[in-house]
Amino acid sequence: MTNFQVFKRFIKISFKEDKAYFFAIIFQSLYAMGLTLFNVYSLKLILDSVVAKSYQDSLIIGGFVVIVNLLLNFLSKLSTRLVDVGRIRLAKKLNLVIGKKLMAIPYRYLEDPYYLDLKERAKFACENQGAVSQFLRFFTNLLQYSFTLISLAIIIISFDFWIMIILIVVVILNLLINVNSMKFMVKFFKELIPINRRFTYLLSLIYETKYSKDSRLYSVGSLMMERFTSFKDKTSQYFKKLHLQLNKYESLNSIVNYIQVFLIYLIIAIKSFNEKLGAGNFTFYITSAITFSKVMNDLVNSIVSLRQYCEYLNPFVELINLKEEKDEGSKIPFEGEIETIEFKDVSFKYPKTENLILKNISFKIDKGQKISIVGLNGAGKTTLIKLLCRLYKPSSGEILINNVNIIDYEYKSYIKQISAVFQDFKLFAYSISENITNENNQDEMAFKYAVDVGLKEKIESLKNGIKSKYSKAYDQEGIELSGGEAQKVAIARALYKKSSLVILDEPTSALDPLAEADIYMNFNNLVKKKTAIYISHRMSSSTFCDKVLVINGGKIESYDTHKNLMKNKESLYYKLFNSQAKNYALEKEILV
Amino acid sequence: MEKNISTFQVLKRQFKTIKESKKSYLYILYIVNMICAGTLPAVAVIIPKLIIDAFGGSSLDSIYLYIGVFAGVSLVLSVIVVIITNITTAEFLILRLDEFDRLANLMYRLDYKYLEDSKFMDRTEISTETLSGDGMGYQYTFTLIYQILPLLLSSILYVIIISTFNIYLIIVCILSSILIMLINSMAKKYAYTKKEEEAHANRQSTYFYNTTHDFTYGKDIRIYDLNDKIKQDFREKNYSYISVIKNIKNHEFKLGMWQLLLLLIQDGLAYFLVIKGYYDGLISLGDMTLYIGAIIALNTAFRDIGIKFSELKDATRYTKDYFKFIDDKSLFSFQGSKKALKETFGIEFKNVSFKYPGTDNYILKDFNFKINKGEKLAIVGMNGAGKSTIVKLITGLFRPTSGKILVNGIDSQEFAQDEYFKMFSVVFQDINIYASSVIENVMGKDSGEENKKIAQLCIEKVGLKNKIESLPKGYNHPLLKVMEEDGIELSGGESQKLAIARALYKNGQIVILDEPTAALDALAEAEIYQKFSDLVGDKTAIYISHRLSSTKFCDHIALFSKEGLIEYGTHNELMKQKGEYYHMFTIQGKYYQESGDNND
Repeated sequence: MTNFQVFKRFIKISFKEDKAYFFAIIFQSLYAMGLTLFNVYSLKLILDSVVAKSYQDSLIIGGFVVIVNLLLNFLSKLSTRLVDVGRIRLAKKLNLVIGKKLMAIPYRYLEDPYYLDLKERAKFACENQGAVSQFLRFFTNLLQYSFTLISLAIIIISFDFWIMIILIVVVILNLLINVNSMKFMVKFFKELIPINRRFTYLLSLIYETKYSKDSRLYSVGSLMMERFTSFKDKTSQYFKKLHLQLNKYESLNSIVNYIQVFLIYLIIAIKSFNEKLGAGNFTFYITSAITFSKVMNDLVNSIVSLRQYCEYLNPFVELINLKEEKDEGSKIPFEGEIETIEFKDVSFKYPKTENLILKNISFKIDKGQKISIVGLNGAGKTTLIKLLCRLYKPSSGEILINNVNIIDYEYKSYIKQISAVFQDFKLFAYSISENITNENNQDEMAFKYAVDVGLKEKIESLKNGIKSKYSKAYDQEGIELSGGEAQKVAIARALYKKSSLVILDEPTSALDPLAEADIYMNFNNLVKKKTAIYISHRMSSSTFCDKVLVINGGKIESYDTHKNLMKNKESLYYKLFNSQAKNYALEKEILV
Repeated sequence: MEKNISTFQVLKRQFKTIKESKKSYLYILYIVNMICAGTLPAVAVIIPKLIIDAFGGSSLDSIYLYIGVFAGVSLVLSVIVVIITNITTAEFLILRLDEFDRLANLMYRLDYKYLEDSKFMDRTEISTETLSGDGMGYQYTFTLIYQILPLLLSSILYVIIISTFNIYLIIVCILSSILIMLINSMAKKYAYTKKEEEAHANRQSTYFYNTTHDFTYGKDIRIYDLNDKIKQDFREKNYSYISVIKNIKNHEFKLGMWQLLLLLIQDGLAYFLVIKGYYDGLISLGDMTLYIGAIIALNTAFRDIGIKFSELKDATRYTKDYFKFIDDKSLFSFQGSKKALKETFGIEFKNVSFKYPGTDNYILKDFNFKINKGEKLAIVGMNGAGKSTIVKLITGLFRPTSGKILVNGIDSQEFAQDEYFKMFSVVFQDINIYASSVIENVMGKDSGEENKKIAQLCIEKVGLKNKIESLPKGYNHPLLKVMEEDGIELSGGESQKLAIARALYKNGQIVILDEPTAALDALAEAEIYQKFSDLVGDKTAIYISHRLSSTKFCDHIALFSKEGLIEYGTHNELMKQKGEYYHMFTIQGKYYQESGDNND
């Protein structure tokens, strides 16, 4: 997107979000213009009056000037108040717009490094550069300066056309001088973005607790410190070069400006002298011309800055333009429960990759069955689950639920039937109760489920019990949960949802043996009649499932009961199971 | 004892660093800029008077002279200002970055315990903020003084000009400017009282911003249909934040009305005196423009000085905290000097009690425990029983609240910190991969062919050789995308293996593995178990895990509960005891057994 496209789109989006703000800035620009003009004119008023009028009349005019000044200042302060708050409000609204968008875009974008990077750049622009606020500020200036320039130009042209010519020639000269400088600045700021990002990363290594243990115990930590220092030095040199360049351009600008001042003063002074225009007119036109030149400079700077911020806002606008995931065409609302799940010759590779993760997967699950999926790391287990959850679409083949391709179902009614606990599950900064139930008045039910997953003692130890707010990120009074406790809450959340399919991906990885055994033993109770899919590296979990799906290299190696699978001592399943089981085998000798 | 540093002392100290950085020429640049930038606007105020007075004359000659000198002098002055400003801006940035380096090095070297202390981390936020931009704190202080000096000079010049007319006018101007500044600081104080409220509201709306922008929340948001709920709460919290801001701004606006009143009085008096002066024949038309121009310029200058002084106060407040921070010697408590031991050794906890800083809960109380030299110990137990705490104590990241930890009979605190850390090869639960090359992640600062070979061997030992050699740049391929665009991300299991390789390479005298196979599948896990003796050799080793199956290849097992150490012995001994360990082992093994039995 070009900068101008970013500019247009951003203004359009902002206007849609907060029309009041735009009216406020027009209001402010008009008053700022009024104030400037009046300042230019008021001295002329007074000088003209003392020359021509009586003492009393002059005093009245003086009083008039003071009062109008006051009024304009008042309006200016008022509009500043409106605009300042409006800007902050609009920036927050735009945050919400992006937030909404990110929640609605197709899931595959969230695992795509391109969009991850895009999001980070957009975030960086807003947080570190204040891009949104600054853009709005400079846009306001743009309006203000434009109005002021137009009115001053009218005054100047009516006085002496030549002054206007000089002013315009100087503007063009300055622009020519600045074209290269601007190109340079734009390039510089573009290069600055990745530099800033790297700098921030290197800093995080020092500040974030999670890196600190390894950074102290291993010399790679001090290697990264050295990188930080040398990166810092490189950045310093970079800025030095920038300012050396700027020196040249800005000095030229100064010279051109003062030549301009010289000419303007000369012309206006000569004309005033020869035509006996008087002190009032002299100051009036001088001030108009000088103010014009200054405001013109400010305008050009604002445009340059706006351009720079358009550059920063590019990723921001690109994000806003993303298409959301909406059901296309007519979709069947899902009714009833999941009776059958069938994968029919499903193959899948992640977008922008070459390798098929799943190859011709076909299998069927009936209602109420508990299926365990096992395989080596990277075999495709989690991918299978993501397909079921419609986070991705199969590259070929179909997934049928109740004999209908899942893509044909209306999304919300479909996903109501599925609950999942992923390996990287997240809890939200709501109360524990709300995390489990998604509502704020189901505390009793939430507690029941919490007890079922083994959280009774923990909840009872909390001051606010199940109403305790999770996470200190939101509220300083919030509580933190250990990895295992959080995992239990996630399991409770999955079980509470009135789904007909429960998917658990490594749900006990953070739990100690007793807690894990609790979940295993109660599994059937917890899941009840729902269909369940259970993924785990702990092979012991396969034994309480009805069937085991063994995935090897993206293909199904076997799909059978645990007993049957153990009969083949050459199979992957046997090897996996035994490699863990044999560590527990000694127990038999002790028991004897 | 905390000394309260005043704003002036902060400034003094900050400006001293200019001299210490061998950049004393900056002092001269400050003065030159003050003179040039200060006189520039004053000249522009005087010139109209000279020209207007010359209108009464007969020739344009003096007018040509005035204009020529004015433009010429101004040109020279402004070019000097441009050059000096560019030089100083770059230098101020460099001074800030150098200071940042100092802070970073401090953070890197201070006692680890502070990094788990959230109150401490809040303190560091302020210090970091002061150095993190050119519009704040440290650098901004240099810039502000640079901008204030010329304003002061200009103001003095305007005062001199006006005082040739009427002393009382000056007094009124100065008084009203002081009052205006006072009103500004009242507005600021009010905003400050609302700071907590503002921070609280901002934190909440930022939470939703962060959550929606964090892609790792994406699955759960979609599957649990939290879209609408989050949208609504986000909107609500934005609204709450804006309410606080409105409140602050409204207060500012109301105070602003008083400022307008003062301006009214000041302007009214000024115009009255000037007009009267003309009619009394005391001043000319030219003088009128001069005095009115000077008064307007003086007001603007005072207003700007007021704003900048208040910003200076803010900036130095941040910097004050920063100086307090880097001066704090108590941040480093490793006073020892002993060098690292060359061979493996035994570890003994003697009457060790420990609680995390800022908490009341003792994780360990009067804990006595011995790990013999060369022993392979498994530490198991329930979550929250302090297993990770023991690791942090052994490795010296935390120090006991009371009691001693002896390594080879020597008090751990007698060692120099760096030397002590050298002795441990640890793989923590949370794996850290750094944005540098594969081999650098393993070797760290070491270099040279021999070391490279050793590192590659370690990578092979953990089963990563094929993966790494398949990368375009092989062992030199960058990891993570943040520093290099072609960097790659390793999977969870691969990262864990790399971390183990790193520990292997370091070859510390004690090996500690904290849940090192949590992300690995059964076969990869078995591989690591098998290699464990290879990996560890005859060093003293500690292995922490939930998976009791892993304890089989250790010599002894220590079982912890919330109360402390409850069982200790070999696997067979503990099984015979039929205590807690037996209970946990049989429960975990139950599902393997049942089917094992079924298999017969």
